[in-house]
Amino acid sequence: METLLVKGDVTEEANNLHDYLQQAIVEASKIITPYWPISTFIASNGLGGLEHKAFAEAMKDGQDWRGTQGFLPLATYHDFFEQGRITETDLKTAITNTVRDANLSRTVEIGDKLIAIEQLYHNWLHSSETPAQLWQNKTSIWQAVEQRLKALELLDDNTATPVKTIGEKTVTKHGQTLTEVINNSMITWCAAFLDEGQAAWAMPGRENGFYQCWKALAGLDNSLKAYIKQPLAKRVQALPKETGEALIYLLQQLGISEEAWTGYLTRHIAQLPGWASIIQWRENHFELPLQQAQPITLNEYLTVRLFYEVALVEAGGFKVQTSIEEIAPANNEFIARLVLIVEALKLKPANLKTLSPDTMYTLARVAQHFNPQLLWQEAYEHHYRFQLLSEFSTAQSEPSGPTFARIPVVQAVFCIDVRSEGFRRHLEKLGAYETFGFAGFFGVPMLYRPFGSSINMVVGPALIKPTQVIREAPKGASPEAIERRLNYNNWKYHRGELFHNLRENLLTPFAFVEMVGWLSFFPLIGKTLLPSKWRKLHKSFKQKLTPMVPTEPSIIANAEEMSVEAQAGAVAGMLKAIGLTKNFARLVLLCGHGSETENNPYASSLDCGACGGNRGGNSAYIAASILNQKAVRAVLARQSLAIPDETFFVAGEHNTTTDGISFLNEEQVPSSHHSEFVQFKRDMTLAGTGNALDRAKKLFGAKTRADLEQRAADWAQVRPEWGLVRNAAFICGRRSLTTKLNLDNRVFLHSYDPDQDGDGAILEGIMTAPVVVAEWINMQYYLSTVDNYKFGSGTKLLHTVVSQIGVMQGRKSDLLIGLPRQSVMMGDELFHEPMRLSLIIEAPIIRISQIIGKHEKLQHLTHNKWINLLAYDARVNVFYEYTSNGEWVKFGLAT
Amino acid sequence: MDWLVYLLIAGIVVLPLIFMMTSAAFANFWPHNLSTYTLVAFGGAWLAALVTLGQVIFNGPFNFTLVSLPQTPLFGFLADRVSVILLLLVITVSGIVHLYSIRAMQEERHFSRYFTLLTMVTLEVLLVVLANNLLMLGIFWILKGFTLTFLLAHYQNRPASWQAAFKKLRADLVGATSFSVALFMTWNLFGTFDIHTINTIATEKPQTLPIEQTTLLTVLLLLAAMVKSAQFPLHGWLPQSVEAPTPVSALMHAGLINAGGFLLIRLSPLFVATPLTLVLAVVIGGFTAIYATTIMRTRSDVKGMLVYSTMGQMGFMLLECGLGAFGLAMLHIVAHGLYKATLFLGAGNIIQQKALDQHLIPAHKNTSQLPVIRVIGVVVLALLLLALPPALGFSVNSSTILLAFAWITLIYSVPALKKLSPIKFFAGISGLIVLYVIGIHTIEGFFKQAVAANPALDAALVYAICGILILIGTVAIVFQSSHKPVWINKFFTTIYVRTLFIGYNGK
Repeated sequence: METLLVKGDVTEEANNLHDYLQQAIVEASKIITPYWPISTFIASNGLGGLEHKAFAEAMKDGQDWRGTQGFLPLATYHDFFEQGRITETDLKTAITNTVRDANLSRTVEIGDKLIAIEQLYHNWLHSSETPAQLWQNKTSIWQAVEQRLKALELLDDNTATPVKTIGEKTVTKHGQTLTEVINNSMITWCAAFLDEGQAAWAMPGRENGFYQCWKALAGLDNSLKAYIKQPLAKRVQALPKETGEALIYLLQQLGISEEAWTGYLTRHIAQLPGWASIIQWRENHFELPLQQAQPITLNEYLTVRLFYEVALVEAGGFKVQTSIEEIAPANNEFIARLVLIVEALKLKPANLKTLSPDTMYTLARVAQHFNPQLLWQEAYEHHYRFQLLSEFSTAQSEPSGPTFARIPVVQAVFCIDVRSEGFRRHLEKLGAYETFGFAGFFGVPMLYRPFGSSINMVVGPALIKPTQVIREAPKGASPEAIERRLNYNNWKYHRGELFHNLRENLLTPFAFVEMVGWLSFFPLIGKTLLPSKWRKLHKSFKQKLTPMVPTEPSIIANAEEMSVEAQAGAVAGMLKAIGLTKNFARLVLLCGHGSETENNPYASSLDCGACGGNRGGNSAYIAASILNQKAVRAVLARQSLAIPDETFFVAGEHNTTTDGISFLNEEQVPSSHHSEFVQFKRDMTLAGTGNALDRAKKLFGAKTRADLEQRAADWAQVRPEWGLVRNAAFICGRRSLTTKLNLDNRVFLHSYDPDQDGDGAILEGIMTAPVVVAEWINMQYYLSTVDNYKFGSGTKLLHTVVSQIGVMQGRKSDLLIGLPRQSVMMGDELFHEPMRLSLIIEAPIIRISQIIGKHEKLQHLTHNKWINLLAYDARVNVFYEYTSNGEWVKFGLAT
Repeated sequence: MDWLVYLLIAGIVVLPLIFMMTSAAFANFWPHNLSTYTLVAFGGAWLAALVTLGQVIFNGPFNFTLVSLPQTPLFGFLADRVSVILLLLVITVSGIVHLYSIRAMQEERHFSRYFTLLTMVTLEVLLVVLANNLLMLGIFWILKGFTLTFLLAHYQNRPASWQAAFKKLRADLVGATSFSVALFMTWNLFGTFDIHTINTIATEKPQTLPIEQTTLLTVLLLLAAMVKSAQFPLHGWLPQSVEAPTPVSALMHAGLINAGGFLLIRLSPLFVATPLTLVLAVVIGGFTAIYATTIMRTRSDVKGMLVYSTMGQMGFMLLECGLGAFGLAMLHIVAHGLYKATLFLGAGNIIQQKALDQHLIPAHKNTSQLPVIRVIGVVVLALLLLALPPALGFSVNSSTILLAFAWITLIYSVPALKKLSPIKFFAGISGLIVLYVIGIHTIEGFFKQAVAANPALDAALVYAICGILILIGTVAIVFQSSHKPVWINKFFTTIYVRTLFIGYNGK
């Protein structure tokens, strides 16, 4: 009995330790965010795991753990100041807000002198002396300050210098750290394991999971024999069977105490954040067939990493680098600021002692709350916000333009994507057209299966995991046409397989190249000299060979696949959210969007995020088809959402690269609506041209619409379009408030009518879904701009697509998960303006506060200033700003 | 009509030269017109090369010297079927790469330096190809290596790009040294650098050449060729070269890397006179082809795959040269050059392609067994058709061995073609083989006058080698889909892991 008991305890202890380890890994992985494979690119906040922390703190964590920049360099802000992009007023506002939110007193008394804190901050911001310079020039003051601070225990000894791993501190003969050696092996293992079909010879044994698969192969690897003399095989075999156990064993081998696990593992994850991020994504999407078939977890990844670290350290023969940082840099800046105060007060070093501890505490608090980059950043953002809100506010007092006292000719619902704004603006000018904004999946998240395919595409916002399958069912096509198309697909598939086999077998590529290689002459010339003609030729040839089969969503003919009620529910949600519940026009357009690019691994990043990084036309077509059904309308009418019989829903797709529009159910438009439709179609084309010419101005070398079409088909084009660049705000409210503004394709526009949302349920839906996604997009652009090398992916010219899931730079690198340089920069100049999202909601502040109170996620985003929330009161034309303390303050517009 | 050819060749050389000297001005002052200007310059050079080709085909080769010493030409051009075809390839690929670069790289730092170097390296390649003497060829051969080094280091702030450039430089120094020594030896042996004279002596009076020294000379040249064409063990610089911008890779893999094969083809009579060097070329080329292709199969990144694919293809080209099939090597250079340039420039396409192709995958993959009967059918057909070259009036020589590779390729197509009816299948395969045999012999015939004749081999030996190759291919494919014993699996797993790491570590 006794022995059994002891054994039981041991198991329990082991279980506790396992749970503890799992917890440590979860904590550690907050330094990264899941990364979606590049084929369905979903924007994400690279530091999204840290949203529970204040923005500036999270940026600092990023810097400490991952070595990233969270802000622009100070010099850039100074340039903005010179150029007038940041003004004195902006700075003052930023300082005042900081002092207010930190609850600092506005003045400090020192002896007979009174210091105004805001003035002090101001001086600090403009001082150009670096801590190092101060330390050199004002040594005596510096030392006095330092002593005094030490005496008062105000200097934190280990100010956020994160633990370095043993690998980082150990250096090989060639000056490489062991971390680099480990990374080298890890990249190879990860690229091979995560490969989704690139390599002809796939890694054997992946069905056993990463750890077991690696374990079976690692002993055969001799690439580390320069460092580790003994063969690895024995060491690998000696590892525990189970990965959690193995990781604990390895952590103990390295002598890491249990309290330090989280920190140590964080640092390990931060060493190849890209590869770790895709593993995290796989782990979060355990339901995916791929993850089911070939599972991989961060635990396994860390086990393998630590195995190499232990093996290398034990092999010995390396130098351990001693740290050269004597004082923590955070302390340096802190002391420097106090030195500046002392200097400003003309205090002698000796007199420093006369200051009371209370005064010192106050000064220290003042200095600690001073973050120059954050202040500059806030001033930079304030400048834009101030301008936007001023224009917004002025527009309300101007005599109103077209209001729809009568029913508009066409109502058009576009995606909230910032690129819709310009198009809508141009369209509205052309006639009695009313436009709305809603996420481009139009309320129908789905697993979409194109005609003839056996694969479902996930079409919907990333926050939803759709379960409804919708197929493309042939409609009105002859059986022969269907047969021909399927045969063509089949033929194409087999040709592809054949070419792959021949290119990639050991003995076949040589004769294969001789047989067909010279045919490449034609695409080589065609794609370079006549890109858009070449593409058109290709398309028309294919269409002639086997015409496309016209299709309709399967749920229309087979209501058993999705009940009429469910169909009605999905679209009703959309119509109610945008406030389109009465006064329907005879034509209502649902317009999705998609991009058209060539040779672009990032193509999906230019498509519709709300459609899971796919083109949005299908979603529009499905929503329109649902809404055009009599049965659905009957259900809607019972929910007091009566759509007149004469209203017809048109589906369209906006090509954001060329600003062309295609209509997807044109042939179904009733003849009674024909003349309006023809006119509308003409105006849509005109609006497209207008928007295209606006956009061409920002694209070097493009002047006309034809140029844009050329770029869309050009394989050499690294920037076919600018995407969501310069996005800066999200306006949730009635479109009539903003119709007069030129928002320059920078604002997400979500339609919302506060009067139709008494209980706030609609607003809650908007704030917890589209707003969150917009924040991901906004932060993706922000981070990719402030640090294009660490958060972005550098220049496209060095990219190589790896494992069909992402890109690396050069021969081998971390998986690069942000946006390329060409998406945010124009040469060496910033093109994107990295600003956190300004969220402007037209709704009573109480309603907004209540919603925030219900959702921790929203508290994180707003209190920690990942977004700047503002409420608009239309009755009095006033904006209220939400502070980090959860209070509402009137936004000062009068200057 | 000679003056016309002089004029044309002058155009081919002078157009890029003027372009190189003036394009920087265009890039800075007329950035929108740079494309048009490039198109005019390269289009002009391309047309000139095309007309030259016509002249060469109808009037035979042209050889003329601008600067010379009494014994040897120093600067002059040799335009024959080999050099003019290569001119067309180089001008095509380089022109495309120039146009591509303008669109893809105009915003990058140091664009005008990059663009000038791009034209410079093109010009150097053109002069290598056109040189009528070994001294000129060697000088531009070495210069071209250095220019490429600068292009590799284009991203000068990246340590990885520097490492790649240095690695390339080190390899080039080996090549340059051996080429220089070879030049000395040439002078000692022949008393001239004139390629035509050297080739004539090697063809007509091979017995007058001291075999040891001549072999040493060709081995040195082979060494220089191995560096340029990234052959084992001098291949290490190539995997690193993806640290350069994409269009540089395209130009390198389509144009520059062929220099090794070109040298062997250019001096083919000399190489044929030293059989030992040819054997060496067969061994090195054959090994590199297998080595690099094995690594290529384990790579999961697109450019990495392309790099090892090129290395393998160059190995095959060297193998063809070693077997004396110089005409086929020319075909390989051209076909591979166009093919690889397209793949490199379109290397970003894979994700979009995959998104489309995934919908073609059938719901139920046809997993039926490999139709062994058909494999055997193809083999039998192949063996029967080995008699085809003599039946069609072509001689049985070493290039017949290369037909074996075509047959293996066809065997490997069997699984993908299993849905075809037997009649269509066998008719298609036979038709392809006949076409291929006629095709390669036509191409051999086309280059016949410009390269050394294929060394005669005993027909029995040729057939034996073919038989063995086809047997290996057949066994391999039947084996692929069958159950394997444990030790075989272990053996392959070891090879997998080793090659995976060799590839990713760029060895």
